[in-house]
Amino acid sequence: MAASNRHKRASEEAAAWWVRLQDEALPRAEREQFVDWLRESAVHVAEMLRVAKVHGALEQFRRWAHVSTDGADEDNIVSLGMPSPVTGGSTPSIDREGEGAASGPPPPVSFPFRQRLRLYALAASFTAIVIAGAWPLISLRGQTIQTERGERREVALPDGSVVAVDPETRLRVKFEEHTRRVFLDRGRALFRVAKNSDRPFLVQADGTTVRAVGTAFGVERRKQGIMVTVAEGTVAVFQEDSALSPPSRGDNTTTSQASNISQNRNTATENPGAETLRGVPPPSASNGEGPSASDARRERVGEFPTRQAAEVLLTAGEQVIMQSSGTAEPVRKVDSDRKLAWAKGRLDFDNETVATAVEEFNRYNRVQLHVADEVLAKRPVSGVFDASDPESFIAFIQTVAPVRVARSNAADIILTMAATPAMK
Amino acid sequence: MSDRDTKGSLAEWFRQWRVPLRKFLTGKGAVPAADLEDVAQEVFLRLMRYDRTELIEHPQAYLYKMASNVAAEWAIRWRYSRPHDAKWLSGLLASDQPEQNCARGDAEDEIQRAINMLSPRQRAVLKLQFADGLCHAEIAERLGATQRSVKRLLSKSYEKLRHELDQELLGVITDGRE
Repeated sequence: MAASNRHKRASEEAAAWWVRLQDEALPRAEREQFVDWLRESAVHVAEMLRVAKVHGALEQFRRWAHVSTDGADEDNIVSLGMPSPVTGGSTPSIDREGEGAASGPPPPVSFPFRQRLRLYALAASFTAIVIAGAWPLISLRGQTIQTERGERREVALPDGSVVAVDPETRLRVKFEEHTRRVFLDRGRALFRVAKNSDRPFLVQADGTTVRAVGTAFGVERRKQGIMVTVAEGTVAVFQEDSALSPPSRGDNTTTSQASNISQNRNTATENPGAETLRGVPPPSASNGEGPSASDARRERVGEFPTRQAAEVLLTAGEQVIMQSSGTAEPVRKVDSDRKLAWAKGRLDFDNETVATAVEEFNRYNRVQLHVADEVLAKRPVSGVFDASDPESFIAFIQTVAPVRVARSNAADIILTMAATPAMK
Repeated sequence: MSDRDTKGSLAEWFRQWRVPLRKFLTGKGAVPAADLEDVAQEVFLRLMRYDRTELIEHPQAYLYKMASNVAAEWAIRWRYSRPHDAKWLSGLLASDQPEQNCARGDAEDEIQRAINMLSPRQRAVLKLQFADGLCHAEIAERLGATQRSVKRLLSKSYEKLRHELDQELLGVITDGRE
């Protein structure tokens, strides 16, 4: 979905919310909806602030006497898509409330809107996160959820599952009768899956599939492969034939794929296949995990020579990296709260370099940090930081190293080492 | 909480969010047009961290309060961290009156231009709301329309104006007054 489309929709929604919120005290359910809409995207917040600005301008405007309304009567309701010109408000309408105050009791009407609210409320009780606009889109066709630099979103899927989408991430959602399928094309996301054992929830990323029934887990595309971290429940991670890589969006081929998926998996390790794999080290390369990584995985594969080939079962607090080559690194015990902290807007660095940390911060913010000093860039850093607060990160590294901060403009901050390079 | 509150609390609710809105639009907490994206990003993150049930009580009040708080905090931070650029300084020195009036005139022109891009009926609704101070129900009655169509006309107008209006000029007319 083009960014401009999303912005257009966001500004439409913001204007509609503005008018709705202005009218009178809103019922709680609608306020909930509004809050969830705001928390869906920073774009929504920005649009809401802009509408307020427009309102402010109109309030300040003094020349209403010069504004012509000639033709307002002819420009009547027909052009608004209403069936006939309305006089006196007796025409059936689907106004929600207050309409009848001046002209008798409100007409009997159906409330599609209310019904939707109830559905939302249901979803909310399960997830506490609901999205107003996304629902119809998702259920009608596959939906693409895309975030830009500095943008995080939480999206409720039609089945009640919730995805926390990190910045610079692209997901495609394809829900079918027997499967719920999400393609992670880029970035990372945390899934809190609504239980439904008849309809497994599959996340596919670069040939790796994560299957869950009702659980919470994060999937991240990294340079060295697909990293899966489980917070709750159990998931199965396995490799697929690359021929099963996601279809380009907009087509409808997934149904047939769904039935093929388990059959084709046995060729996975042999056939990196048609799809170009990104620059991934060969399986034998030691990958930060030491040389035992590929050995351990070979044992696993040895246990299940055929279909279950590269399937790895993960439970809460476990993490695995599936390399694009089909190699699974050994399962690690991790503190999943820490490892998935990014889903809550926190960055957790454990002996990462300053360069890596800065790169992470930059993904979450419009203010961009630049490290103009190699020694500083390589310096290790550990700690948990608020992703939206690069200033506190700068303050932190300033306490451990003589870092000089230069602000060339409001959006760029350049970090260098002060005069004497005090590298330990 | 029941869906509909008493009239007294309606007034209270109105006060609750109109005051923060005013702060957001004018004075120290006013958000400059140029910073709006950044402020929105920060507000978004604060909204995510904030307790949802609290937010639901007065969502707009929180939204505008957070935005003006962020703007005020940043204004302070920037005052210390940013060198004053010449343009800003000269703006400070050439003391306000004539120039400000001039800028205000430009802003009025701009708003008028944008309003003229709307359909006559959209203009009529805006005029009834802002010049005559009517509420939606009254506007609907005056125009012989439903409230629903009035709301639709309003939200369409806002949306169009949001794209039509020069955001910089919006700043001139709203920032720093009151």
